[in-house]
Order: sequence, then C-alpha cells, then structure tokens
Amino acid sequence: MNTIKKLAALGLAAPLLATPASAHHSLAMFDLTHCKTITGTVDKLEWNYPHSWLWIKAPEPPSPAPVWWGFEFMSPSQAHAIDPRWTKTVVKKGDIVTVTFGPLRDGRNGGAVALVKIPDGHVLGGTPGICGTASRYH
Amino acid sequence: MNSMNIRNNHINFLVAGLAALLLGSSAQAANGYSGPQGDTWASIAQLPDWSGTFALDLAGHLLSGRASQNGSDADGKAVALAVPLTPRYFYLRAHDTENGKQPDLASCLPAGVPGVMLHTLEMEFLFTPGRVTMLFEEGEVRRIFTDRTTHWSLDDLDDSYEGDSIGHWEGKTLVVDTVGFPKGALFQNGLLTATINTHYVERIFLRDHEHLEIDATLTDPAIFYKPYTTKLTYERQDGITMGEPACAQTAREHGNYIDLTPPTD
Repeated sequence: MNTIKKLAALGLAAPLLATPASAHHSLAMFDLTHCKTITGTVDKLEWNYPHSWLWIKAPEPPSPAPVWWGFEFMSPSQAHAIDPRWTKTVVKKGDIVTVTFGPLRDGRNGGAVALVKIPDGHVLGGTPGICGTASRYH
Repeated sequence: MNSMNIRNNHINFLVAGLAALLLGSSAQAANGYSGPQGDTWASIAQLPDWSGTFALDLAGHLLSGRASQNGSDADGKAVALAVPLTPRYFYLRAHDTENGKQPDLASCLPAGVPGVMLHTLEMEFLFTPGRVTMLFEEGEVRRIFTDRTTHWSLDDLDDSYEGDSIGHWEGKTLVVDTVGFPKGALFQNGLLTATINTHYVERIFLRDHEHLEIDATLTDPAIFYKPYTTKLTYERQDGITMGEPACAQTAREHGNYIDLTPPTD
C-alpha cells in the first residue's frame, strides 16, 4: 500500500492534498471546491498520457438528446498506481457511470474527475485531492 | 553555482583523480573515485539494484511540509511555499500564479531539471558503462556522466532544460552534480524557471528495496536566499508499464484552454 492509499485510509488525504497536483498543468481552470455529480452513458475512454479523458453523454432537459461531457483525469500509470482497477477497459461504450467532478470554470460541459462510480458499484478515484476526496478507495 | 564554485568543483575532482594515480589503486575508476563506479559491466554488476520503475510519493512529500506544488490553492490563489525564495522570485511566483500562467509542460515542452523530478509519473534508471540514464514517462531523458569530472561550458547550455550532469558513486549512493539548466522548471508545475547559475546536487540511494530517496540541494543566490534542501521519496512500482510520451498528439490542454471536441471512433 503506497503512502497516498495509507493516508486515504486514515482520512488524511483530503487536507494534505488540498492543493491537488497534476503532473502536466495547473488545475486553475477547474473549480475544485464546488463539485458536481452527473450520471450518463460512456461513449469513450481516452487512455492517454499526459491525461486520460472519460467521455459520456448525459440527459440535459429540455434538450431532446443527451449532450457530451468530457472529464480529465490522470495518466494511465498514475491512475493504475492509485487504484489498480483503473485499466483501459474498466468501462466500455454504453456503460452507465456516475462522475463527481470539479467543473470547468468557463461553464462548458467538462471537468476534472474526483470519483467515478462504475456499473459493478465500485467507485474509482480521480486526481488526488479534487473535491476533497478522502475516501477514494472502495 | 557561480564560476568560482564550478572551478573549485573541478579542482576537487582533479585532486581526487591525481590522488588515485599516485596511489596506483586498481580499485579506483577513471573518475578518480574508489569503489564500483559503473565504468565497466563488471563494475555495474556491483551497483545497487535500481531496476523497475519509480514514482514520486507525493503524499509523503506534502506531509513532510516540503511540498513543491504550483503554489496555488483550490481557488487559484497563491499560497506560501516552504521554499526560501528571494523577494523578487516570491513576487514573480505569486504574480504568475494569480494570473493563471501555465508551465511549459502544459504545452508539451520539457519540465527539465529539477521539475521533472517532482512529477508523479514513472521513471526508470539504466546503467551502462560510464553513464546512468534516467528515462521519464513524459519522454524526458537525463544523462548522468560518471566517466568525466568536469562540466561542459555554461556557454553551451544557455538553452538547456536538463543541463549537464556528472556523477560518481559513494558506496551505494549516486552523487549527481548538475549545472546549466536555465529552462528547467523549479517546481512541480513550476511557473518559475532556473537561471544559468542554478546548481543542483542530488544524493540518490535506496532507503530499502521499495523506496528510493533523493536528498537534493538547489542553490542560486538570485532565486534562493539560502540553499533549498529537500528530501524526495519515490516508490518502486509493480505491474505498471511506462506510457508513451504522446503529449503533442493527445493533450487536450493548451495553456489554460481545454479542447472539448468530442472523440471520434
């Protein structure tokens, strides 16, 4: 168990990681304190360095059709290190997922992943510290 | 590091080399240091096992109070760092942070020294005769020459991110001396960059099989009012494959703008 996981288990990760880290850029474009949750259907998981992206379509009444949402999280190796359940195939097109995220400050349909609840009920963690997520391991 | 210090360093290395010649010890390598120096494959076989990949223990780094974050809180405001910045650099960091400046890395440029050491991505070491090479998941490479004892001229390094690194082994510790990295980011997601006079010294060793430690010291009188020392801990990773550095092809982040064009099949 690495240190991040140990701290998370003790409930200490949130205050310590109050300044979340991205290896690639600062997270200034995201509002990390007013988090939102949305449920939608997976369209694609872009499993890439420097950041992976989870793309879903979610209903947004009164729009008759679901709309795109894109969520940034960690690189594959970082995601896997934090939770080994993160793999390229952890979700597939058509899966229903619930994403908790720090929204883009400019109001567009996107954000930084804090948590993703996948169809088997597990909740996967995103970039450490986003939305004060201490219990990222379930 | 100023030119006088560099000169003194060179003299120290030369003295060590001369002493080795006078003593005529067969245990001393070409760089003048005794003990295995990794100058031959047989010598490399006596060096510690740094195989596998390592990633920075970020939580431990924060816990220690030595965090080198981008210097902003969740609202993008500058916060204090446990770094002895001079007033000018304290102002520069705060100004860049408050204005949402992104590091070169956000444009898929290198982080350089020492910023690349502060990422949570994977890194690995390769030992070859006369060289220790550090490979980083983001595609950067640090070449540490253990077969020479003098630095390249700073005049040749004025556009460098990684600088010139020379090293030697003191038992199971690799001591690395790096100069000439004026484009290197100073911190993780660093908004500040080094100067041509910044000097970085690392003592790299295995604390135990699972943990690699680096005791590092940064000096530059323009940036720090006293040497900035830090201890970085990296965890050996199991079952993780280093990714390919495809930043330019895949990154949706361009400065502070994010491309939200939906994917195509």
